Amino acid sequence: MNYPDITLTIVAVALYFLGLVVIAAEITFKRENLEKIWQVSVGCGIGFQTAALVARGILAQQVPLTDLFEYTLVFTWALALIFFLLFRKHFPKQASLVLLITITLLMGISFLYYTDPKGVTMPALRSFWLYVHVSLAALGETFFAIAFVTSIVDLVRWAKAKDGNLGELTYRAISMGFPLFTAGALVAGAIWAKKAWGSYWSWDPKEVLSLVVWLVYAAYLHARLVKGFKGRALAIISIVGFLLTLFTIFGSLILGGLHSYS
Amino acid sequence: MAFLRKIFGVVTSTKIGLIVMIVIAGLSLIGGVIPQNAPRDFYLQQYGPGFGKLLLTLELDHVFRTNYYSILLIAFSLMVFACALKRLPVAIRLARRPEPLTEIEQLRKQPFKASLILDVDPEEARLHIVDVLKRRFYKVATKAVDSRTYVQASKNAFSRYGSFILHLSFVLLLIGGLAIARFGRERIHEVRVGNSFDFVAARGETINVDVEDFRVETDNEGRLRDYICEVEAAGKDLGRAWYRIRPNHPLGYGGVDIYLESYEEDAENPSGFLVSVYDSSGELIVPHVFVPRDDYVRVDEIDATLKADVGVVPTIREISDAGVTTHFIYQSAEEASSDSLPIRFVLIHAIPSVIVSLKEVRQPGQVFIIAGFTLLTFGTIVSLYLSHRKIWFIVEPTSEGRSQVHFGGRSNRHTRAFEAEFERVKATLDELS
Repeated sequence: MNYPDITLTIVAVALYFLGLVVIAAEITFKRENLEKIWQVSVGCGIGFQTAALVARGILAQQVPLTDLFEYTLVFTWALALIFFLLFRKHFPKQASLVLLITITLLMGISFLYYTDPKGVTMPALRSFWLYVHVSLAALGETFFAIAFVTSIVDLVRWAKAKDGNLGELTYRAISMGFPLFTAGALVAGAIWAKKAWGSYWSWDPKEVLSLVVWLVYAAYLHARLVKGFKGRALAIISIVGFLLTLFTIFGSLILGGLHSYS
Repeated sequence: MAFLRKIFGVVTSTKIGLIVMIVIAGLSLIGGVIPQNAPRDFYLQQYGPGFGKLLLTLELDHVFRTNYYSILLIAFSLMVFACALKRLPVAIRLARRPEPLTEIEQLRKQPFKASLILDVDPEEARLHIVDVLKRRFYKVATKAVDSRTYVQASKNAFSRYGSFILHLSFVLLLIGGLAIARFGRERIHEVRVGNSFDFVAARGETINVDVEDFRVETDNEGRLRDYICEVEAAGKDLGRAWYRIRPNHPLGYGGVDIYLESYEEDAENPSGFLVSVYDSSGELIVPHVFVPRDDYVRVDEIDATLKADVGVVPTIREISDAGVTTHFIYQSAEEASSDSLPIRFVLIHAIPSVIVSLKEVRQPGQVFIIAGFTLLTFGTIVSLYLSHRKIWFIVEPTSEGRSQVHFGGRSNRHTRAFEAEFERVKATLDELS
């Protein structure tokens, strides 16, 4: 059955794709007057994605956070929204382009995991802690994605001109995401695990990978704040951190374990 | 003493701490990717004899239970604890109310500084400055020396303790983890519905749990909604209590939690039968009715059962098999005296009995874990979202009876946000110029 959530998501992806094509044209042809077009396109994309989430929530009769498709939809929506509201003005065009490529790719991948919104939700997922755990973790990962984008652009600039200047933005994004990720992925996750499975920590692949992600970003913060690291080394840690984050999100489908449904 | 200092230096070294973190992260990644605790042959088949043997030699088939992983975790926690101790005096010193800066030159060395002439006398200027700062949640102290007034203000001084709190949380989590590992208990009770089991609560009270019912709940469209296990618990202090154990809703009593782990249907031993009821003329009376297994009586047992149950419990009179459908004649004790008998029951299907797995968990270190999690969350938020801001003012009278105000400020992080705040303070004061 063709539900409205999928149609609205496709429209949103198309609008993000249009936005990235316009930014690419703006960069390639050095046209300044295209900025409004891609901003309107991305803004409309966010609107359609919001509608897709609302439609899915109504169809499923719950907040859409229970499987990988819904998680990716919420994650990319938050990424687009936070970029649009907080970082758009501070981002160079190249970073906006990389961010839209990331969003479009992730949303493209999410279609592989599309599920019937009226399908069964496991009773274990019917918990208040689902919303705390998943939404905070997704929000934290959103900021890690922003840091990933600025780090990529920084690395390219280092390679080209031996000069990157987005380190401060990367740090700001990670310092915003790290407490959210700590509270959501680790703390709320462990408390929910205790309520659902009887143990705070089970060495489940997704738990372990979340710990690895946390350690990588903790290392980033220590390297910057205590040891005063700057430049490429920090950008590389940020990129590794987000690649591991993606592996944590999608890896549980391959690795199985207690989180194999999400 | 020098040796101890050297050891303390190594243990509190950020560089070594980072290396330990990376090693733990690497081993955890390996443990997350390679299936853990599988049989030996699995690794030899999955990864080939060479690599598989290497994995087994390095104990990577059970990374999280190896001695070296435990040692790394303990070493990491000790390092974190030592770092916390090292940082505490620094945090206390930095969090103290700022020393008054009495020289204008000192203010000019701050990252953000300004000078204004206000159209009010120094006392009014001081009151205005204090008011502006207090409205921005600064803690303010003033001091007058000769004709000059010194104002120093700070905000979010406690954020200096964020890093200490964060490090301390690890120590609490480690203590909690060790307490659970050493004194914790986990046991699975596999109980057939209708049977019971015992567990011992924290104060030695024995609790008997009678599993009365288990059901899978569905919504109107037949979609799975919930698993519900109804139990009656009885104990000396508890008395009798009824609980519904569901996913996310364990039974908790006396430091012990009982979780619904799984369930299994046992078709070989039905708990009862779903049947349709027809009267003697063959007309359907009730389409579906559940006949409990206790009331199921084989033909050869009829007489004995009837004698026992007359006037009390409905009893199956006769059972026979006819092709795929089993049908049996039924007669209740009450109806036995009426003329409308016999009533015929047609079997729809046998309902399997259910065996539920209930997990008994006792985790005595929980208080440390909860405290650790609270401090971990609080520590990260305080140390990354808040910044310790300080502003100093020197107010002195001018020859025209006005006030000259010099001020400067600094923040340990979020300097852009502080710059914006500094500018707003300046703009507010400027209204008096």
